[in-house]
Amino acid sequence: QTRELRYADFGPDRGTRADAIKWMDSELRARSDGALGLNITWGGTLLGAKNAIEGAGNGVADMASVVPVYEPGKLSAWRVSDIRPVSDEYIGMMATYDLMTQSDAAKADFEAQNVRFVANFTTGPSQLLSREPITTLDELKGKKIRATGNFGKAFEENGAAAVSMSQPDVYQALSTGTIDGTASYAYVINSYKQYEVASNLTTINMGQNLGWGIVINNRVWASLKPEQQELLTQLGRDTTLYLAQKMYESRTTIMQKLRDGIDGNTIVEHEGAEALSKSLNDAAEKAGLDWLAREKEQGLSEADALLAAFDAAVEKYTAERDANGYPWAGSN
Amino acid sequence: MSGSNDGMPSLPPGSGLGILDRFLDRIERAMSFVAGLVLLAMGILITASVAAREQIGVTIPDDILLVGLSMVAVVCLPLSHVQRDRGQISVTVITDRLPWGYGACGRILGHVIGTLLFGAIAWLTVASVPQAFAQNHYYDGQLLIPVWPVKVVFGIGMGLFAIRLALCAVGDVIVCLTSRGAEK
Amino acid sequence: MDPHLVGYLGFAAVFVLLALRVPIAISLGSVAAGGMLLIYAWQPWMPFSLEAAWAPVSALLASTPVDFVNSYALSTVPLFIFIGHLAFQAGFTTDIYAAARVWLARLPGGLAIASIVGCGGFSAISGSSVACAAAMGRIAVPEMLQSRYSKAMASGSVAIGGTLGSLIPPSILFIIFGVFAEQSIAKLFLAAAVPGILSLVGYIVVVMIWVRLRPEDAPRTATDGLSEKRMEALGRCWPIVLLFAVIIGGIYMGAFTPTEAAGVGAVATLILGGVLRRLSFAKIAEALREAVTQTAQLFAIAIAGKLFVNFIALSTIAAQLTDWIGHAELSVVLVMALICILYVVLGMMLDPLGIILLTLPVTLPVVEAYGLDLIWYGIIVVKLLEIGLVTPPIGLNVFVIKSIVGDTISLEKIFKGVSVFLISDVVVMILLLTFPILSLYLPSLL
Ligand code: NA
Ligand code: NA
Repeated sequence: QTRELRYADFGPDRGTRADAIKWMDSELRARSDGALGLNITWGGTLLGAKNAIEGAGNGVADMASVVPVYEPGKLSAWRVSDIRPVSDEYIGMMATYDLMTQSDAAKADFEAQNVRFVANFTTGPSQLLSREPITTLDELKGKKIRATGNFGKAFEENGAAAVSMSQPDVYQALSTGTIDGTASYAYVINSYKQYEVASNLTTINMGQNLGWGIVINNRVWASLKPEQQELLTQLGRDTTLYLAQKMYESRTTIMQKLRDGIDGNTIVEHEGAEALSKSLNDAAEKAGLDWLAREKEQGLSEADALLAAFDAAVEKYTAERDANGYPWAGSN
Repeated sequence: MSGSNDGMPSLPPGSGLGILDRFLDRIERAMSFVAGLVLLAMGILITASVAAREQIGVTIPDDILLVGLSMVAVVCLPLSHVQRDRGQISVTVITDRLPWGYGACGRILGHVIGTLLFGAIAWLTVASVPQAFAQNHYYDGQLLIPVWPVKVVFGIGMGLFAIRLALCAVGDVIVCLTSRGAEK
Repeated sequence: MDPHLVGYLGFAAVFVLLALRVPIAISLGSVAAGGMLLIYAWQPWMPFSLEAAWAPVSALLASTPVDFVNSYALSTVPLFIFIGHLAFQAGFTTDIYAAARVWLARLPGGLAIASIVGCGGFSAISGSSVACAAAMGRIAVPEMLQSRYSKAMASGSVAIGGTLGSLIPPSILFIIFGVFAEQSIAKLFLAAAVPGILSLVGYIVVVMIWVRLRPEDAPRTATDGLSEKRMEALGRCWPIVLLFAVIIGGIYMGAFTPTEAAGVGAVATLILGGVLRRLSFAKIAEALREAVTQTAQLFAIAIAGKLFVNFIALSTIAAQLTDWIGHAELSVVLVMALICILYVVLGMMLDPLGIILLTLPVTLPVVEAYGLDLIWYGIIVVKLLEIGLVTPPIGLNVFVIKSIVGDTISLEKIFKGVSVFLISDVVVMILLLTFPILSLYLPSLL
């Protein structure tokens, strides 16, 4: 009989991230010869974004999708991966995966929440979607842009008003002009249909959100047989790699779809806004480093070591990709 | 009877619970008043945020976060006062058609399990305060708003609610016993 | 023990507790907590252990309520309730009903019709049905009672009118549906137009028939058809018209979002009332007191309802029910009928958002497999969810009205009043199911 691990996800059951979780389920069943599987609840009906780490640690779910930024004081080491503007899914995700599985500081962080890291997610790089074209710093001045966290600070630094609003409000706000634009990801533009109400996309390649992914409860982990643990460890890495590939591909597909037009809505892409992009990325990185300095004061003593390890991993994967291309390129 | 008033039963005169009731009542009124002020502040904050954005192109830091956190005070602080004055909404159509005892038992049952449920929620939330305080947890944003005061406010609201429910349960039992006595 | 069985027993236990007049919040919350304890204690790969179940259940009790309440999106509910009380304290609403009385005196059930139309208008500025019922309820119900309308009609018309809140855009539910089903939100908004108007017209027709059958439920007021008196009454309505113009104008000109509209509306009402010297500090304090009281009553139920959603998710009964429907190889008509029944049953106990999150991941593949249009399905789902807001035993819109009227009208009376209007909802539902073109024509023009 299959032991189904209870998996809690706070998002919809559609899109690349959801597909990766479903893929993980079917792989788990296949690789364990039906001994293990996932029983997935979607939409935050069991655990929401705000209590997923706590819930996984206490066994509300055996495994969960978690985002440390929503749960103050928990898994801060993971957020170190959000500081640098890494816009490549593969490099960012694998660097974060290595950091989370190899750094002792990160491992201690997970231990403190009674969970274990399994796999990494990403949003992909952030771009600027706007009603009117915004390609220069001058054009950005005085615009109202929906952006949160370090991105919000970066837009403020560069003369825009950073508006925070919940994602479901963004559609209406763009359509009526409450905001002039939003810092958004390809999959968000696609799933929230933001292309229906704003048609200019400036490539600014701001960093991805890499501080999120899958964790498993420690007691559940301990109850697995050694070979099952090994299987799940490998599957976690494979899932990260699988999602990197699919996020990369879906971003390309979505962009092509938007250029071609969906239901008569087409997107005009503005590339070459280098000055704008650099200025925003620098400001976001500075905000990230300020955060890290504060965390260091608050007791994250290995802050510098974590960042250095992340940088080293990024360098390693960049060199690897430059030399050999993406690992999936040959297999297709 | 068409009402659903399952709030504080009127205690027989001379009962020692009366003092406790009046003491609690003062705190509850103060808490409801605070909740009202927070609601007002919430409206003003949203309006100021909109005005600043539209008129001078700046945004109020952490406005959304502050509104969400204010909701905790607006919703939880008046719970206890509501319980005393009106009671929580309940379905009376069936017990109205049954002998008096069923309704009385239901009231006591409701107040007892309510005490347990909301007492547990209050206790479990408050129990996580020391950690949040000691480790200096704060919400991600510009103002670095700490987490613990929000939990404290929530705990106060839920805790008062649980105490009031317990008092209602005791009051129900007393009323039950005395009116039984009166019937005989 | 099988989690499904615990889930079904949970539903039954709520009914029993409610029948014993245990308050709704306490019934839902305690069954949720107890049910979750059982499910966690009875994991198939370990011996029964209540001790092991305590950690997950206490984690949910400690986090779900406070996380649920800490919500920017939900701030519209207390703020719109506050606007309703403020407008009442300032006498704005009395003016508008005075005008309605003079103008609609000859029209049987005129005030109820005006209330329903008012709800329809309010829906255009609010994305939430509960907020819609809350604001309109404070305005309309006391005025209708004063005009000696029957309690059932006065309360029922506003409770049902409030359900237009999520059907007429802007609407949070359609955005969530659009994200889950990967459908165009613009098309969903457009598709909702005809069903929204149909529903509204249906409610008006119900009032007209009701008044014809039982004229005593909506007495006509004394008719003094002097035209200058009519104009005078109309002239006094400008404050509320101005407020409405500010809010609706602000949203559609892009000054603020529908979520922000509640906060801006509250301050605008305060300012207008202050400038016209119709609001004293005492009146503002009274409006605040009423607003937080009503908010606390509603959220006690909503918090417990959220715990109940946790419990139902854990029991996985929504998935099981849909699996049955999907695998039975039924005709398309039967499948849709069963899905409707599923939503009506879940709608008895759960709130719309909880149902949407629980059921869409499992119903969408079924509906897609039958080749049905998902925009059309979105309209059907949201309409069904709105019906759930007014069906017993847990009907949030009905509780909104109850929290306004206190002991003057019993819960059962409000449900009774609403049930009359549900006849038209059944008819509208059948029309929408039979003629998808009613929903799909407008979006096809896009
Ligand atoms: Na609406
Ligand atoms: Na219902």
